[in-house]
Amino acid sequence: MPTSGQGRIIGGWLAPHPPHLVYGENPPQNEPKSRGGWESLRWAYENCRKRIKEQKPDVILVHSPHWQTVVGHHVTAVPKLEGLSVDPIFPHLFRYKFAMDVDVELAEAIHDEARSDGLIARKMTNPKFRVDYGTIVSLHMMNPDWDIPVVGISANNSPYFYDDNIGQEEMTKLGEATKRAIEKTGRRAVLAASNTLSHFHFNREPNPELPEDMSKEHVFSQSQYEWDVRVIDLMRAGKTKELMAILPQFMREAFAEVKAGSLTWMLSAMGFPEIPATMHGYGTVIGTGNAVVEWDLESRR
Amino acid sequence: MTTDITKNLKAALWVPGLPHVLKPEYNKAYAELGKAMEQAGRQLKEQGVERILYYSTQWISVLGHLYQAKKQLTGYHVDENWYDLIDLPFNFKIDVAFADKLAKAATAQGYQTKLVDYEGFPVDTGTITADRMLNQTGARSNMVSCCVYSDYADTVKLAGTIRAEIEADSVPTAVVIVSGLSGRWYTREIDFVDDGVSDAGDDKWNQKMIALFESGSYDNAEKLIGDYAGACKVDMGLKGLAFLKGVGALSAGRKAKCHAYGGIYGTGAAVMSF
Ligand SMILES: [Fe+2]
Repeated sequence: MPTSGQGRIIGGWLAPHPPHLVYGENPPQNEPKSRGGWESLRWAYENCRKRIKEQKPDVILVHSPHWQTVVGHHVTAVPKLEGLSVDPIFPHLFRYKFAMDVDVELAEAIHDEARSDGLIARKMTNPKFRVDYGTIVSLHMMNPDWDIPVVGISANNSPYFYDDNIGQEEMTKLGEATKRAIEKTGRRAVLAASNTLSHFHFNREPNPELPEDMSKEHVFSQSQYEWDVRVIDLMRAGKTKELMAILPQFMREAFAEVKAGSLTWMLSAMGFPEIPATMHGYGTVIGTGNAVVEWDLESRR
Repeated sequence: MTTDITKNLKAALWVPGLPHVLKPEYNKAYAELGKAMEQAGRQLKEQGVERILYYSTQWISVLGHLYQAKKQLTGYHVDENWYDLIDLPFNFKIDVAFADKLAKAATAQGYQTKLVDYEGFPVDTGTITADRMLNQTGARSNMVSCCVYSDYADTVKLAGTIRAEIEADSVPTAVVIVSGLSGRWYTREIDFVDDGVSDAGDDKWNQKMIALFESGSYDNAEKLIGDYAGACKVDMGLKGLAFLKGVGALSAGRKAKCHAYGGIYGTGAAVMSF
């Protein structure tokens, strides 16, 4: 792993994690089998896979709302994590055998940088730790070969525990710490914000006999859809400042999962770039709004 | 502990779901809570309990209620927060036939239900912790998820379907709520020895609610739930109480007993029998 020279973030992805996407794809790692489904999002992720293959980053970092931690920001800091991940909410869709190499040096550097900035940070060093399904789904959709080391970062519960502002401030600082750690360790890194956009969803499975019944998939509500479009348009226009300004309202009114801080963390690490993001695809999953969006920082170089 | 609740329901308990109770050497309250759980377990043994039904607020579902239905449910659990405190290997014998009956009964009442029968299913920290302390005889278990979209009244009704099934067969059963009280975590690093309920107001509220339970004033307690939940970030809005009500553990004349109370990483924790 390169440890000399100035590291940099080469790109960032809004990389939502509905397990339905893995289920729809039928990879060998996932036990349940489907007839497909949610193609618009899966095709969008194919673009991401292609980019990752071309760019060959040293590491992919993912911030996941489904590793929620009470005390501070945690990073995976053990060389290998593997096991069977069964989604507690959708166990009929996601039972995935995972194995990932962790970039421990970078994880430790993020921990140290976060600490030096006054954040509470912790290194997760238990090799029996079962990685959350959010992390796994985003990483699988981005790189199903798992041949690039990763760092998993937890979602500290501060946005839920205090208020949106304190929570997002914490994530902003965490992003800055992540950036410094990447630079110091010399990595070429890709970031993933594992977030759904609008997050109200059906409270019943529309067709329990066929979860991938796409005739039953649709936006939860028009207002929620319009919120997603508004947010995505700001991303596409590169109006990052405006995007950040409306996020709290988006969280409140569309119950947006970005509240967990993953998007704020990523945009902060990238320096809140005012560059147009590339929209690769949008789709709903049990009514929630999901978009695969890319910020290509190399295009600025 | 009190007398049988109904013909087959021998006990109804409320216990905390944090693994700290397995580390008595770290803090006096952890030790007291753990000891009370073990004592409750001995009581279940004396009462001849053969089946323990867990309702844990840490097993969350969103599309209706899930019922654990894997006959031999074994695995190795590491908590996402407390991964360096203790590892939690587990081994449950699930009463699958009963799970099937429970799901069918709830479905008949319009609930969306699913049986869960999967290798590697992530049983929650709370249920594993409770079972370690309470289940001293290898009794079979059942588990019902806590559906976040099922409100208090809806949960009372759901638990009513469970009560009917408990009465319909002849297995001595205990219902165990795995849940906390006030939910104001310490969000900074503390020494375990300094742990306690993080807020004096929360502490007062917890004790007030426990006193109401102990005097059998469940109606009054229910009236205060909204205020209590709003003031103290109460775990799942005290929905565990709805479950106890539905299974019949809060009937007139029955008084709860609090066996231990204290703080775990700032949150309120109690071991109570109803
Ligand atoms: Fe999610």
